[in-house]
Amino acid sequence: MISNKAKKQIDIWVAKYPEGRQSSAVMEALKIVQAENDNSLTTEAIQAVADYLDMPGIAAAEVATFYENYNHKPVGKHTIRFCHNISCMLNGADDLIVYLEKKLGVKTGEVTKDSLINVKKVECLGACVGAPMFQIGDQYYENLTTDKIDEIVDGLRKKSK
Amino acid sequence: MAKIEIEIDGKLVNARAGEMLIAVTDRESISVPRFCYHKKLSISANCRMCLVDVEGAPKPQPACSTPIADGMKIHTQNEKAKASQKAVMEFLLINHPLDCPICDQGGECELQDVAMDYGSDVSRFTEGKRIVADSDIGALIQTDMTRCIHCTRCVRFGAEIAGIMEMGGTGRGEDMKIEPFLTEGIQSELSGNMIDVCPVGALTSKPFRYELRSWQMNSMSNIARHDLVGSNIYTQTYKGKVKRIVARDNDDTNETWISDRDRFSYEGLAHENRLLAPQIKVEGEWKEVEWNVALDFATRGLGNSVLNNHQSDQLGALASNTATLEEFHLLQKILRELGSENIDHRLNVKNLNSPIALDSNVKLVNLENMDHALIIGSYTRLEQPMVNHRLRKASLKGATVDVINAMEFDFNYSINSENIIAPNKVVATLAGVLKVVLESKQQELPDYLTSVKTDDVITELAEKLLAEGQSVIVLGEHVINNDSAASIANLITNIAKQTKSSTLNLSASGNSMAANLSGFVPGKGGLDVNAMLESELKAYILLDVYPHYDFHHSIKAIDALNKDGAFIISLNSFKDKDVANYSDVMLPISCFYETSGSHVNIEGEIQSFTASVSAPSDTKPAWKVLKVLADLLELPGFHYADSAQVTSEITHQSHKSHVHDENIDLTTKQGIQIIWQKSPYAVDALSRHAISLQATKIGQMNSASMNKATAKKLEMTQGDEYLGVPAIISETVANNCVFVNANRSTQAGGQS
Amino acid sequence: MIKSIKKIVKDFTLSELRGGLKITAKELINKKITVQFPEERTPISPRFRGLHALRRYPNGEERCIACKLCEAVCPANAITIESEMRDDGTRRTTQYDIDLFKCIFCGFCEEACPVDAIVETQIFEYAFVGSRDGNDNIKGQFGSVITKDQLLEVGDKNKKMIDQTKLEDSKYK
Repeated sequence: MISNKAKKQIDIWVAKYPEGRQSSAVMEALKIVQAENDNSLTTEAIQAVADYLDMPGIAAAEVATFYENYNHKPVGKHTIRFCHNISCMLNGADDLIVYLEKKLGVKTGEVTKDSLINVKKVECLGACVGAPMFQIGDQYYENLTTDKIDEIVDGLRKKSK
Repeated sequence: MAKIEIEIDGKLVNARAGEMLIAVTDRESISVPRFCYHKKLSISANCRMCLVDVEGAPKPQPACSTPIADGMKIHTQNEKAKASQKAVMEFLLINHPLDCPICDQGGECELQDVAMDYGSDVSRFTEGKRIVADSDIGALIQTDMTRCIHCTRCVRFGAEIAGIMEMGGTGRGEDMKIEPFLTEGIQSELSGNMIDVCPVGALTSKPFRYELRSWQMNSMSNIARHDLVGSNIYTQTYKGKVKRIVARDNDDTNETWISDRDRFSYEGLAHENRLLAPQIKVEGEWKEVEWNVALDFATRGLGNSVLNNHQSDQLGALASNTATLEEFHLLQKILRELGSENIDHRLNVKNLNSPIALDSNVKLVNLENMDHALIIGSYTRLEQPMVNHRLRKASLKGATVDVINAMEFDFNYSINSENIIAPNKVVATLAGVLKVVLESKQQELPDYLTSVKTDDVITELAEKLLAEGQSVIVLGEHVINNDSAASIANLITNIAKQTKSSTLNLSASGNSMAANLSGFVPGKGGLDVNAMLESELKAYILLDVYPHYDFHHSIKAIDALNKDGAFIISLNSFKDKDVANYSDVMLPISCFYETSGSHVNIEGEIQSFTASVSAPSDTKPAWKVLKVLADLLELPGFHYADSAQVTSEITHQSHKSHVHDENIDLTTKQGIQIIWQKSPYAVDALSRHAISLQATKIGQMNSASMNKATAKKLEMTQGDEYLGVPAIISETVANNCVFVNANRSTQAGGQS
Repeated sequence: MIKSIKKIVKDFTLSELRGGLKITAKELINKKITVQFPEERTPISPRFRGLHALRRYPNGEERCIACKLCEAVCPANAITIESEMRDDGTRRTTQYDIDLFKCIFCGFCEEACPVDAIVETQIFEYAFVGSRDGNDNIKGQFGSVITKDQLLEVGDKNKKMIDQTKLEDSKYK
């Protein structure tokens, strides 16, 4: 389940914690394994991480389901992480999410047919100053409008061609 | 810890510095509402129900996680405290369904009780409530996770007490769920305690589902007799039937926990297989008769077969380890009055040429304080769950645990060194340990030790025992299959003496300590069970014996009992095909919780109990049956009005010291060794008839494990039947050894 | 003195006799209140507490969920309930008996019921046939212990009346 390369990467993180506290590396380990498995974690993958770090499977699952940056379903090439917390919501995030869903033809949590984009509603990303906003990869896109969304999504589509 | 004084609600209270506030209020009987706090679990402070006002603190503080300090002034009832408790209650009730009428927890629910005090009668919450899908977590626990208030007691119970973290909180915020990760069901042998710790109706008893409300039942104190601890329980009864069993606190025995075996075995009481009427065999046909006819038939039978011919040495009495102290006493008294010493309860021991003699000299509570434990031949986790719990506590406190077993087992604590060796090598290993111990003390070696070899492993085992601190040597049940059992016990006695270790003898389970106390073993000139069966006695009285399960040499035993001419009186609580085959009279006796009596636990503590329910149908408590039988046989000294008089007779008699030889014999047989164990939920007739217990993973354990090399010698492959038990090929078993866990009657029993 | 004169006047003018006859005369003219039971009936309050019935939901499912609150609240211990899980996983009664000899018709069971399953109807003219368990030969009758099926039957037969009375009373609850 976990490749040797991934195991080596995980070992680097394990080494950072005192002996016997290898389970502290669970977040990074999950991240590494997720990157290896098409950016999503299956039950088996979580169990494999737990086994490798010698911790109960449920304890790893608790972490994996708590944080937004772990996916449990197949995702597209780009994940649009749309903030819907209070600042963004007050600035019209909900309407924009509906607009984006319509534009892509999928609901949040689903992947477009060409496996290019999926949308995920996330909690505050700390960019309230530019609300409403979303994140693609490491990039924040702030002060969104319908036009701006068109521009960004079309840009993604063009790039992939 | 330093004593300090704090003020709670205007009252000065003494306490120890560093104690949590809630511990002090509990001691002083000041009520503080709580859900997540449990005295035996770690503190998580996540329900926030126990908020109290601490003077000087800007906000209310959770009593469960506020350490007290000198001069603290606390208000549990003032406006600030009340207001915050009310607010928390309102939040908790936002998502809790209003299905109390169909909830099994209704009437004994902590949330319901607290809501009566702190809840508002009208909800301000008009939005939709959350619904959580349930997963099936096994045959014992019913989940209704929509009712869960996320106190995480069950999660902490799994991680801290049961030692397997099975439940966990996945998701986040409103999506948080308490669930097991893999939907295989909960595996722990202590899982039923999750039902007790759950403050709401999210985890309830599955066998009990929808049957009764808590207020309909009577709670009676009783003692569970499945293991050597004698867990304290409440039997909850309704209309003369035991309907549920819950734990009763006793810090000396079971703390607040009980094993699933103790909790769910009651189901067997209502099994259709109960023997309900006395029966006699007339010309090969069973006939149901009245008690007086059956007892008359029994006494006449005894007279004709042995007594009238003055052949009382041809009479034998055997009992399984489920009997009560009083029953053991009365049966051995009858035999001894009649002039027979053929008395035995060690039906499952392979070699009785010299008895396993090892004293237990450690209190259960002290087990927790051990610095080192050496376990020999035991899977304590499943065989003696509450003893194992103490060992686990010791291990968590830093104790090292060494194991000598024939197979790798899944202990729920870390093992220092796990030595997997075949049973015939145990005696040599222990002899080696004794040799190292004696050498290190520069003492003279007895002759038998001079040629014993030692190696690094043995030296390490010995050094651990010699090291500073308290250590305990635990002898487990697997030793009964060992030809050298007596020598092993004697070696352990010697090692313990030299290393000042305590010893714990778990080799006979159930109520075997009571059998020893009442002298239910052959006296001078008497035969042990194996000898009795070999010498084909003319009459037997069998007390709750089920030959396929109880005898080590079950086939041999059944053959011997089936021989023509033997007159056999069987006292049983369940029907059994083989019992019906060989018996001449079957007398129905009451089972657990239907009779008064006593259990003697591993500490030698006599725990007496009264009957929780009356015996069903025509069954009678065995002590009464034996008393009447003695009266009919016109034996003196059986004038008892109740079982307590029998108990006091036993406690007042001088204890017979059993003589045993201290001979140590290191010769062993070669060849394939078998360890034949009843699976943990098949140890007695009652648990074998408990349907829900049998449906669990542990209940279905039925396998003969062996490694590849052994399998090759036996010409077996995975799934083949070995003496009626499916074989499992696994490299966790020692070479030349088969480890059997059988949960049903097999062709061979423990034949070897 | 004055007292005895008053008495003499009263006696000789027959005032008491006339007073009595006045009522007779008035009732001669007034509308009669005699009711020809059972053809005629007096009005009954919607809160009248007569024979019990178990109700169903409009889809035909029985309402009772075996919470046993009625059994617990009953001051006369007249109700006996046994319950178990029905095959579809719901909590249901297998036995619901009311001993009508024990019942004191206090209406607590109706008050306690969280799902309005057990109700007391306006039916008060009924008889027990046979002993405790009734007489099988006489159809539609029950003994002094009314069973679950019989209670449901009472509810089905008088659904209209029960619904009506509960509606009338609902304003005051």
